Amino acid sequence: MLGQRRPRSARRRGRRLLLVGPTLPTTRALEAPLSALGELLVVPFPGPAFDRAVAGYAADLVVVDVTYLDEARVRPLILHRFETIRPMVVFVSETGEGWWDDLRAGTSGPMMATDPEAICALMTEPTLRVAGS
Amino acid sequence: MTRSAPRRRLRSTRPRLALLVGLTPMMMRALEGPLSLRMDVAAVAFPGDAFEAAASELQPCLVVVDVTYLDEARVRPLMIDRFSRKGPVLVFVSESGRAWSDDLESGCSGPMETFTVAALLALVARPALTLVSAHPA
Repeated sequence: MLGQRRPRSARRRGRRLLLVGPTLPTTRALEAPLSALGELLVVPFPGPAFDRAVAGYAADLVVVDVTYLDEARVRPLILHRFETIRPMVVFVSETGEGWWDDLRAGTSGPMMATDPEAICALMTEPTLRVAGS
Repeated sequence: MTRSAPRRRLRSTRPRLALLVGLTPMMMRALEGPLSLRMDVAAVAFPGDAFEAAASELQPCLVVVDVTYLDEARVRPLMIDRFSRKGPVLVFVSESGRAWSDDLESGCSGPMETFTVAALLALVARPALTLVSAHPA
């Protein structure tokens, strides 16, 4: 992921973050830190609000709370729904387990921590430059 | 034979309200209209503030939980716990067509052979029969 940057258009318009189906504790934990990163939209899942967000919000980061969800069913569906927008998708739960899928880079992996700092770190622009660029 | 005073089940005195929890758009289209013809219907997302408020404040006789995308093993105990004092019939449905009912008043649970609006209504139907005395005075 080093050296991979979001398109200029995304950076210019400011980041858009989408929080999907959060429990109340997850909302309390993440709403303020994610709002500090950019424009945050919170939607329940499933439902028309989620469908509208997929179609029209162009999120850079999607955080899905799978505390009560069947992750085996939901993860493929979420990744499919965002395959054209290609955001960073993070699956978190109140158990503390997490998984991220960078749909732009095509990379995935487990998250050792799903606290707000760890999630926000996924959106941090790299400060390093490749030598000679 | 003389009739005794009619005895009605406690359920018949409750407000006729169905609470739809976390329905997918497809399930909402299938259930909301037909159910609302027969009873009041409220729909909330799960999890969230709306669900918490509904679970605390409403007195539904029927709660339909769409577990199409939910982990039923996690959600079913939570729903039973949240509604145990209100005694509604809980029905867990999914777009696969499978359905399971838990009558929190009678303590009866089991799979639903057919999942239709008529079958849902039958779960909370008021009894049309009244008890008569077996031993006339």
